[in-house]
Amino acid sequence: LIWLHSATCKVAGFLSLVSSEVSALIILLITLDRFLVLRFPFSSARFGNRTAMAACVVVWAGGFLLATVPLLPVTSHWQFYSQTGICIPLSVTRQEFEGRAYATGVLIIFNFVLFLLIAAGQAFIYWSVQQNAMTAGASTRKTQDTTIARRLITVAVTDFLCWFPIGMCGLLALAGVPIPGETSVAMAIFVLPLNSALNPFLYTFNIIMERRTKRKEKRMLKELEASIKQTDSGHTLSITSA
Amino acid sequence: MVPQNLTSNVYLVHLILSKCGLHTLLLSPLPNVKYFDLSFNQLQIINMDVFVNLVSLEILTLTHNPLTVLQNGDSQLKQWSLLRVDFSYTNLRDFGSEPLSHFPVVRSLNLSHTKLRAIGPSGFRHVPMLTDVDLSDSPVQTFPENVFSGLTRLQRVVTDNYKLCCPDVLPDDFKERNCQAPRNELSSCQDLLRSEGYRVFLWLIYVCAVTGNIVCLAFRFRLQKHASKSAFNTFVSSLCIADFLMGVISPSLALLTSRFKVATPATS
Repeated sequence: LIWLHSATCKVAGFLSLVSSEVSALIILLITLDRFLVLRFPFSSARFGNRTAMAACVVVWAGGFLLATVPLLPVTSHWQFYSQTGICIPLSVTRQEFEGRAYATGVLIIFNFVLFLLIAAGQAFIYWSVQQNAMTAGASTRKTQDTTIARRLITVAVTDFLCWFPIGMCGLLALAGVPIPGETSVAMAIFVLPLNSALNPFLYTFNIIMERRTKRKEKRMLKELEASIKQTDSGHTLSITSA
Repeated sequence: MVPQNLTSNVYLVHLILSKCGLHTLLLSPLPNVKYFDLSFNQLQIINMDVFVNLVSLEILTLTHNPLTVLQNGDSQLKQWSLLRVDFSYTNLRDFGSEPLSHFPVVRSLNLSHTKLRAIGPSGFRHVPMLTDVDLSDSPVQTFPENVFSGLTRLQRVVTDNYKLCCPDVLPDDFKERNCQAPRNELSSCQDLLRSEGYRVFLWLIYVCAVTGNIVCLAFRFRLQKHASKSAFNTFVSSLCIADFLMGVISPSLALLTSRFKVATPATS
């Protein structure tokens, strides 16, 4: 098939690989950032603006490097971007192709390690938040705890849902279990973009929503305070604000 | 040279007129010709009646001609030996089997690499003995639902349009794996509603990935102007860019995939 080796396919596969790898690496950086903040709250070992920028540049460069390797003149005989009949390089077929070792290394092992690191980081963050909350006031503990736990669990679960099937299929394929061709296609056109669609909700919109509810709560509390002060000015009533 | 001049060669069996620059065909009866090669000529219009007089003709090759129109005259004669016709690499835009109605025993029809977009309402009805149809690399879009009906001997179909390989279209006792077509992941032969819903859902994800990340990025930039520049902000902006890229690439990947994925044989 001529189209498989065509430029369009290579460009699309290249960009999709860059995007997915950069996305996973950035999530790892975010986890690392939070980990540092929580683990060493008073240390200077954390990302400043400069180092964050530098880390992003490194991650993007790394993503491009990973995606460029199969296109180098030395590796141009690889069928990296054309092995499964889809342009996206997913190592889920059993058939041998040139550059399979690289595909396995990057797409399964590398991504699996990334996933493990992220999961471990999120688990630690959850654990340390719980520890901190124990020492804080008991009344605020529960709400704070649940919001943070919910946020982290959604991050971990979606990441898991998106990367686990791909890694699992890859491992099964390596072990010699036949995987229907439809699965790889479904992953290419469904799972990867789903992750991309969910990330803004996980990292930005939930924060906006939380802020809005917090603001609303504050306003309601103020109104309540004012009304109480107006109605019974004789008594003294103390309201603890969260 | 004009093929008319061949009158005296009554015992000719193999006739190769390839790359002769022929524009028109005028044939005198050649009763013994079995193999006739007219490839790489300049033929644009062919009246199939000219071949009726070649009573022994079995294989006819018209490949690599700028052929656009196939006609048939009002000849009442039938030609009972033609088995194979090759129309590949021609400029045919539509095909109906009427021009072949004088050749009732045609078994194999090669219509690959043409500009064929439509198969006419007659389908392949006039060639009931057909066993083998090759429509690969021809952009067939429309065809009658009963295009293959009545072709009890059909054994092999090659096409780029998966819809031609749907069980409803193929004859009843046709083995589905003998129909080679790219499988389209976003649509299927049956259950159109479900696949429509699936498609809508997919596009929703793509739109969500694109707009969500744009909004997210805008929000982050505004935040960066007002509040302190935090590392978290930088990371999430970067994540937005990567995800936005994915949202832009995915639809094209889906289109590429659904258009070109070739069915793998069921042997694996």
